[in-house]
Amino acid sequence: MTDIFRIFRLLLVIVVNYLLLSFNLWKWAPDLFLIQSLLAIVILKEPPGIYYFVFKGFLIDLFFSEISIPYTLTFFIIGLFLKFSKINWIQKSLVEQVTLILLVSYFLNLLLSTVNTYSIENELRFLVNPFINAFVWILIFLNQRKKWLKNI
Amino acid sequence: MPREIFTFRKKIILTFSYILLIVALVLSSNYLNLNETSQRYLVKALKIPQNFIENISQEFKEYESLKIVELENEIIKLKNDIYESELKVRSLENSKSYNTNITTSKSTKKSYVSAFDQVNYSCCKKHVIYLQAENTSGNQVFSVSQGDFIIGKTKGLVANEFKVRLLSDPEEFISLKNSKNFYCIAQGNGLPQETVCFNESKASTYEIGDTFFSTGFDGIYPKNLIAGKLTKIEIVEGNMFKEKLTIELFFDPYQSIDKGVTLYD
Repeated sequence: MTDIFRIFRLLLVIVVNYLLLSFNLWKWAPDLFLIQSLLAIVILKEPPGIYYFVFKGFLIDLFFSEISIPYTLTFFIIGLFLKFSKINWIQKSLVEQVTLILLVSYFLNLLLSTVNTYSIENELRFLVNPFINAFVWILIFLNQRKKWLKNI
Repeated sequence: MPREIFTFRKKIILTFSYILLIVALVLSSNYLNLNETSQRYLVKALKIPQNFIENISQEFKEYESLKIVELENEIIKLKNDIYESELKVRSLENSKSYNTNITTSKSTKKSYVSAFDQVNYSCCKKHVIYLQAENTSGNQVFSVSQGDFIIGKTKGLVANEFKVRLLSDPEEFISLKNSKNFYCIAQGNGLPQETVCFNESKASTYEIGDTFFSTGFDGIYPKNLIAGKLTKIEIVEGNMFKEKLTIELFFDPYQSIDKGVTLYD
């Protein structure tokens, strides 16, 4: 049942991302898939398996990339990090979280721009988007930290 | 439940097995053309709710004022008529400066534009439209025109429709000439309704406003189809003899839905 809900949520985000692209708002929007995954990681007690991240990335690539590499590879790295890391992701300091988000966003955007041919206007996203992602995450963290950190 | 601790050896084995899985997924999606098909079906799937919302808003408007709806429909119809008339006028105007009788031994067939990939047209440099395909294999390559105006050429079948790459797509090339016998190979630059070609010859025989036609040299496009009008001439940085010619294409994909087109074998 949980898996069905996960797929349903992902399809919903795919539709929203498509609408952002249609209305030319995509370059100013945070990466919805990345933010959704980060939220899922902190809300769930145990992070999903690596296979979940790989297939999620693959599904996103099918709809938004010419070759199934950018999201598949990025989400695979996130999955590996979560699986092998000993410290719970949310227990890391905010600075460390934001640094990781910036690095992952730059890596993802680099792959996206390599395998797709975006218009000059949309290439602006690759500079702006990591900061938007980090900013959105800071807002979510500030709003939710009491709930997330109460057991530490 | 305590967190599982992985040994270094197990970490390496896990990582490699997932890398193999990713390679298998990427290769199979490439082989089966899954990305393109999924994207096409996503557009089709989201077209239904889009039409539903449009219908509801139409009904709401009808409820508000029947007269306004009639006038709006009339405006849409007139806009379509104007676009088609404009193409005819341009065709006649250009036939004054050049013989636009399309003489081709290629067999032709008719179709119509069933969809336009607006998302990729505005976000990316991928410029494609889709045509209704009937009883045809995807391996054949057809050049496509709307009346006397070149659109592009087919690039296989996607979800039972012909995918047509427009002349403005960076992967699309065409041999062009003007009425003063200047020849060049134009390549799409990824911007809407634009293709560019370069000239290194000092004796330039072109000027802004010249119409460019297909030469037929590439063996794909028939001779004398109209491509567009020269709108910009720039000197390329670092080479004062090399000029970049920007040609504005006459075909407008935004106005193309449901319009008839000709395919040349």
